[in-house]
Amino acid sequence: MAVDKGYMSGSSTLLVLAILSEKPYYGYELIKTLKQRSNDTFDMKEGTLYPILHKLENDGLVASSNQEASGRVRKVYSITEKGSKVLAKEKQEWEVFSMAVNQVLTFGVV
Amino acid sequence: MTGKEYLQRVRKHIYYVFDRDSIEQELAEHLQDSMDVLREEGYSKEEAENLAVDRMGSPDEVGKQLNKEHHPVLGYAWLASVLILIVLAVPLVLSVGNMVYMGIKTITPITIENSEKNYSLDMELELSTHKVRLDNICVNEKGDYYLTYRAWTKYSYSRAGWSSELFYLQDSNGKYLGKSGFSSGGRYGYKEFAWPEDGLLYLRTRDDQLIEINLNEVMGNEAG
Repeated sequence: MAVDKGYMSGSSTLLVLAILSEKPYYGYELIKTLKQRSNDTFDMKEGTLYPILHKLENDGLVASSNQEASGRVRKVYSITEKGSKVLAKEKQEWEVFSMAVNQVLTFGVV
Repeated sequence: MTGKEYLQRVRKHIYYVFDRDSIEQELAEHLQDSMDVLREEGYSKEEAENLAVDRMGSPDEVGKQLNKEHHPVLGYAWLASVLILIVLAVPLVLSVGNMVYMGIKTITPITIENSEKNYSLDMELELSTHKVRLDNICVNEKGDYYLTYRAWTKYSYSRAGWSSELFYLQDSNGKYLGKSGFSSGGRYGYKEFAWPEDGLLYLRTRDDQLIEINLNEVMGNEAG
């Protein structure tokens, strides 16, 4: 099941930073990983990832470098120290938020 | 829509033109990766391209969002500030270059231009404020005589910077022999002088020392 766009855009920073916290990725690889891990729930239009990545780069949360391999030049993104701090904070906020939503939804259900 | 058309559509939205190529490059790599996988899955070349482009979503939407992150005002302002810096740096580099050149000039003994013969003096004078090195007696093709020198202040190794002459040239009777002179920033220079009848050149310093130079003796010492 694909979800409404609104859910996606609000949490895109969190999702992208979470994946980049493991290792550096280039755009195509990143979007495939996101899709796989969410069991195709986050099936966003692939082009929309790049404005997100460029914003994160402008904000200093990720850094990029060009890597050449077998005739291809790939822009590879990695998380910065600032990005790791933001990720930790957003993760915590997300946990509080989702727990609260669940409590409201399951109120009365025993 | 072909991949090329998609990329062109995205490019048009990026007002900061200097970032267009890098953006296109990145999206083109993505399309290529996407197409490669689809081809492996059995799609034809055309189908793979159409599907890959379709998965990218609207090029106008992506272009507009990317344009926000590649802000033209900031981009051009940055470019303008770099250009201004370069413009400001040019005279600085030139003046440093000139100082280095002047510095080199004062390290090696100097001679005058069009000098036919140079006779080494290699004398040093201690003035109250300066140290002066007398380098050569030079004779040009017209037979004019010059004395070349370099000078340093005792207080710093920057410009010697005096306003009056460090020394004057005269003969044994106290008659001035100086004709013309040149000095560069007080660091080096020359003085043209008239030949003293008895071959004895006297150098009177600003602080009233008198130094004798026997020209006949010196000119047996050809420097080349």
